[in-house]
Amino acid sequence: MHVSTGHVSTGHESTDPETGSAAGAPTPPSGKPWRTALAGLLLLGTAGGMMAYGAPSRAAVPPHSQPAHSQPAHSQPAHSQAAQEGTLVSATLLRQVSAKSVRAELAGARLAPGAPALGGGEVRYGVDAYRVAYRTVDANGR
Amino acid sequence: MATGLVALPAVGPASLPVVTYDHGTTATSADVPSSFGLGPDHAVEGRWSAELFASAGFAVTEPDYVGMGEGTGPIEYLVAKSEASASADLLTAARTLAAERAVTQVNALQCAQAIRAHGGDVQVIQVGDVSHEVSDFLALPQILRWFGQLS
Repeated sequence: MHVSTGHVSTGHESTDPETGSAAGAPTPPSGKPWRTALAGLLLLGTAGGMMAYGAPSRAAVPPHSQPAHSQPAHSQPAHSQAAQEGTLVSATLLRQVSAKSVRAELAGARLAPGAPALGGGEVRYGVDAYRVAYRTVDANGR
Repeated sequence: MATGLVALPAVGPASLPVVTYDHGTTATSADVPSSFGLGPDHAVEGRWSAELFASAGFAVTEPDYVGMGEGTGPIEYLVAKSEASASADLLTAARTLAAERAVTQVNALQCAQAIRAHGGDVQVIQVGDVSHEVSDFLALPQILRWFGQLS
């Protein structure tokens, strides 16, 4: 999947009415100029990808207990470089966005003025978003 | 070390299919999915795409380009090899995170193997009278419905 730059200005942080946390719901582009012109030039040939297998199970379970807000390093013995790849270093919970907020956000999620929005018709769950740090290698295997 | 965004349904199935999404070009190293659109001028592409799929019941992983975000080392923009390895390695890391939430990821290993074998690049045709980045974005709801029909 060739993906977009998505350079739109973000809105002010707002409070999620359901979770009480700052939802940080971004707003569609308004006053701020886009960087799309510059980014568009850079984007030619941009690589992107999306892969999925299967579909959601319909079996519901109780809410997950106490998602970690900031978890310590998940260190493992470094037997080899290959053993380190994919090791979870840290996971920081960025936001917990309620289903209601996600639905409202996606209803206005458009990358260009006048373009159709992604839409929130498929929303069934709230979303927990994490910044994850992990081990990987560069193109030279380092 | 590299960074990325992982989004999970807050409440929902104990077994989740995985979606991996590689972001497009950004102008600054901080403007990546793991910023979740929270900083000034940070893109919301990652946030919105993650919310679209996670809210529908998918486990979503979105690696930052290697060297971007809070990752170390030089930026590897448009380097297909590290793009694929970072995508696969984030899938592995996300399995660890999901397991801590008592959630398993369906076919994450197969997804990682496919990425390593074929890479993450797919040709996309521009549709309509919009820019190509908007074309890509507009395809996401269709892809979501398609993935939902794979069961």
